[in-house]
Amino acid sequence: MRRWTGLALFMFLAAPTLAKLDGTVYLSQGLTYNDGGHLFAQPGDMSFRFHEASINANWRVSSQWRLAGQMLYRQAGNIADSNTDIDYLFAEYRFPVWSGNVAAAAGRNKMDMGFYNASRDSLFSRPSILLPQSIYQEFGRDAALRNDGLKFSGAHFIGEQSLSWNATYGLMALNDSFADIFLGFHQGVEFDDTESLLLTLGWEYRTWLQLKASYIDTGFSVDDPRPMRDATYDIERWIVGLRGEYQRWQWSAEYGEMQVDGELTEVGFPFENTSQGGYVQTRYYLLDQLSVLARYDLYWGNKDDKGGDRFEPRGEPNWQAWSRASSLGLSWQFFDDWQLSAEWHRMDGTAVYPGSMANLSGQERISNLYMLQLAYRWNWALFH
Amino acid sequence: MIKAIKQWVTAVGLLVLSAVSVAESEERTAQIIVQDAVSVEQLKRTDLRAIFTMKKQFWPDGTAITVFVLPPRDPVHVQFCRDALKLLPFQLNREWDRLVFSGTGERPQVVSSAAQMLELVQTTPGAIGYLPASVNAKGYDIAIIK
Repeated sequence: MRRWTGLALFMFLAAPTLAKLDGTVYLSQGLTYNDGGHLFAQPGDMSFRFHEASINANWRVSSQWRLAGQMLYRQAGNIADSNTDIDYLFAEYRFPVWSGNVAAAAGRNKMDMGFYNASRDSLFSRPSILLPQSIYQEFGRDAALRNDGLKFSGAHFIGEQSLSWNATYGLMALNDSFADIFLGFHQGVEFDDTESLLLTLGWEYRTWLQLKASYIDTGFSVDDPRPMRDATYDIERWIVGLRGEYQRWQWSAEYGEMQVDGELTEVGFPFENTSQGGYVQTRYYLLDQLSVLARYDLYWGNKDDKGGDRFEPRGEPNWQAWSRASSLGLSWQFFDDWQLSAEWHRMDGTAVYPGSMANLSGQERISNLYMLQLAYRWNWALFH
Repeated sequence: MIKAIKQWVTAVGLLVLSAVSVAESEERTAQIIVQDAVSVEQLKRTDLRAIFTMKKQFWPDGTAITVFVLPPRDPVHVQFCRDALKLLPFQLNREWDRLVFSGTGERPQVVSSAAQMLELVQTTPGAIGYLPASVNAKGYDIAIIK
């Protein structure tokens, strides 16, 4: 933490010599109602426990060097307790190549996985209040969001086409929030061996068509204070996506699989699991500031047991094996810096829920989640 | 035979009208300006789009590109997006938001007026911007869309 504070202080003190300094302040407040689930409140309760706030700064030190950082505060009902963290903070060096530009960054980097992962914490930069959970699960959010290390990226332009790539290697920034969602508690929990490697490749034709593929190889070990629960996890995940845009229409679809090979280390008990899921989504802009969204999202927690047979011997409902969500949404940017979004999600099954919440008392197989979110941003800039 | 001639005349007439319409549209297009030292005389629309979405960051000679834009609801900005980039303004905003909130890039510098745009593009190495077609930008490099 001290090194991040030092870098932030250095940025602040050096600010008077800046060439260009700008950033954004972001605030949002949500209102949720879930009639048969626990994601944001108890079933049948209305909740205001959904806030996001961030402040970021981008300092273009020279034509090659850039320093950038963002602090993020987030509270998302029962999914995530109040938490403030450094979202990204890095120094980046860029240079031209014959076909475009290449950059290298050191520090805390966001993981540019799928279409929306790196920009998922602002209503202005994600397509909906709640992202498609088949790909952007809340239970894996912290493990897939950012890491501390190195990032190399590039963009290359050939005629009407462009190719972009990035390779990110570092340690995952796992925190108490991740422990809470992964194990249901965080006291006495420690994570080690959290290296992660992300490779992403994207191809774009004009702005009409975009293909993107991401591969992540990661893992961690857990020191669990409960007896016989220490474990290791090796995780491989890949996501492919297709996005099209024409005039006021936008379509996107992504598909992904995640394979987990683990072991309870104290008893030498191995386990493995492969989940799969994907979504199709369309968005139409009725006006420049007003859009509607429709989505179908499908996920299985174990692709070899889509019917949930594994839950029956325990007397638990089999609908923990899948999640099918149909969503409708409306977004209205009523001023340049204000946005109001409303959504309805009809959810069948709880496979995308954090494990500790999938079968709580009052949980129903089919539930409806209604969400309303108001967001504000202030773009500021100092340059000369 | 007469019917066929009428059809041809109608078709040619429509073509002429659409050509006139395109020409008028090109006249309305905002003019692209670049800093004097930028050795670019023409820009393809694809390159212009890559520059204003902040993906393409260097000119062919290796000079870093600095992008200036007018405020999002300024009629000239809206016209520029539609005519020059063939994008709707919200599509451009969405790209910039994605860059800023992910930290993967920067948004362009927003200027308050055409006069400030001209001044900053003149004085900033590698700068690119745009002006209303009615403003006299003679003497400064103007990139022409192919």
